[in-house]
Amino acid sequence: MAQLAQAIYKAIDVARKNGISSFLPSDSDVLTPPDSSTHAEIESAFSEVVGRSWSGSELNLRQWAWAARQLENESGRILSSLPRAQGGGIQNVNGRWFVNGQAYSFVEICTANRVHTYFAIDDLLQFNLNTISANNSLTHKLNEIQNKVADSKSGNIYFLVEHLWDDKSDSNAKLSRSKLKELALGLVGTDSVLAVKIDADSIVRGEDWDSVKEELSTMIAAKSADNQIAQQRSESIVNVRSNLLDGLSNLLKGQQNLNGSISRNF
Amino acid sequence: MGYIHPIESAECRLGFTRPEAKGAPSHNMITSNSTGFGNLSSVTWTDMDGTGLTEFENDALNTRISNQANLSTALLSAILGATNGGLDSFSLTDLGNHPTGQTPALNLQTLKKALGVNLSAATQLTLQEWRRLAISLENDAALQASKRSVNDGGGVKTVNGKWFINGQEVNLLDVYMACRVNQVSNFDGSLKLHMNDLTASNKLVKAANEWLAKIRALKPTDTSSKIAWSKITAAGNSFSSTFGYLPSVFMPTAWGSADAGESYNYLKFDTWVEECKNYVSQKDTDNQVTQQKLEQLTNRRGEVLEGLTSFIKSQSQNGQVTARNLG
Repeated sequence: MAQLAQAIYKAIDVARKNGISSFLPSDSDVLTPPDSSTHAEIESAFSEVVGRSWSGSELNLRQWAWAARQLENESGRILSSLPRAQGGGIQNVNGRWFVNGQAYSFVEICTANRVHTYFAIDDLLQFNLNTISANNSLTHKLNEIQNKVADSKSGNIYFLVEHLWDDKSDSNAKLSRSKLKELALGLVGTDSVLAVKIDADSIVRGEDWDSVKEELSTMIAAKSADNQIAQQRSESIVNVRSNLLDGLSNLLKGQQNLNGSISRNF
Repeated sequence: MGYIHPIESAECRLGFTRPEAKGAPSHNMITSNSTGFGNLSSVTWTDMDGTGLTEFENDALNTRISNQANLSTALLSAILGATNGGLDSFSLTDLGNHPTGQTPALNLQTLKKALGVNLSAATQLTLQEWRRLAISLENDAALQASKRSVNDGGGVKTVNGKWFINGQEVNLLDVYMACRVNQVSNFDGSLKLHMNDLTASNKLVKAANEWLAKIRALKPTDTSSKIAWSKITAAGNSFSSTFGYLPSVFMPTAWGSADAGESYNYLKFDTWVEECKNYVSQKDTDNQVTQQKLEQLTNRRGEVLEGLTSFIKSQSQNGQVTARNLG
């Protein structure tokens, strides 16, 4: 269709130069159909898009120009059905916009584009908020544990380390035994007193109290630091999101103003 | 692109019920943050780790979410195929066994369970109506997924501009605020602990200074005199009944090595005074460390609150710009 349209435009140029005001499709002096298409293909495309037979009567130059534009538009529309990698995606032909095989206005295309970006930003924000939320849950649990340890010290009683984790199965616990040990080893180090106590299922008392309390403080501080980073990231994502929203409403406002201006002037 | 041109009439055709009209809650009713999510009026902890599903409930939920997500994808794909084929409507029967493994009967059941939609497999719907259903399926799948714990793929969920947590739809401000409030609540927990440590330490330092004064008062005034240990322990017991601490806390070495029948001269007293002063000095150092931790925590707490207020401000500014541009 695109090649046929180009062939028609060339024919119009030839006709103008020779002072011809109308011609038939079969006028080979003026119109050379594209080599890559058979007569049947040209007939099918032309009749479907233009609404008359290729082998019909003469058309004047204006009618030929209109037909060529219709062929170009339809070509763009069909191309927009293809994936971007195959030359498809958003197509702009003769001031008309096509995507996914349908015609849309420029504002609709831009809005859709912005909305896609907006959703992608929301996905990033979701990931960040879940990171912060997971760190919060862990820190909350560690705070509870630290309070238990502090309370038992003030009461001067020994403290069974098995009271530190949830008694649910690993997959349902907010802080399981294995997770607590993993945190202790990861954030405190291989010489963690807490990890040793967890392994031995033993009690915390005497000089170990302060060590365990200190290690819990270290773990809480580490998670808090992780949250600081995630927080800064989420704040920058939120800024981008805000700018996008402002940009979108500015675009729509700009289009409104343009439409108003056009209708006033014409 | 149906999200630009919502089709209200589809609701009537699809038999959507309005739960608020009937007075009964619906699985897809939008809740208005009924649990006061992210409320800053009191800095209390808001659990964001799902609704505490059992393993059985989790498995059933996963199956439901999978069916909905697969059907939604299949519908969106079918819409594209119908556009290419020049069709303007299709039915579930036309989908056949797509998505893979989901029969039209299962798809009907999925639609009914998720959206309360009563269709037959042969009902022809327009492409825009199918798109609306597909988006509603996605939204409901995200709402259901948010009931799971974060470790099981739950937590905060967003799709099509909507936000979900703990099985309810909320807005982004609620989620953001809940995260920040939880952070502040955690900081408050740590602050309380450190302030208690500081208070306990200050009490010890005060008592240690009192004992120091007592020891200095008991110290022999000349180089030849000696004081019996029994007199010192008697003073210690009296001190303990007043201040609640035995002097062995402030001078453990002295208390552990002293002989009950012995008497001690001024040199020994100097040693004990030094030991007590070292204890006070150590406590002061510990207090400084605790103070630094407190300051750091307070600063971080402040940053979190600043971040929250700046987010609220940006949301408000967005609203103003949008209202100015499009109002």
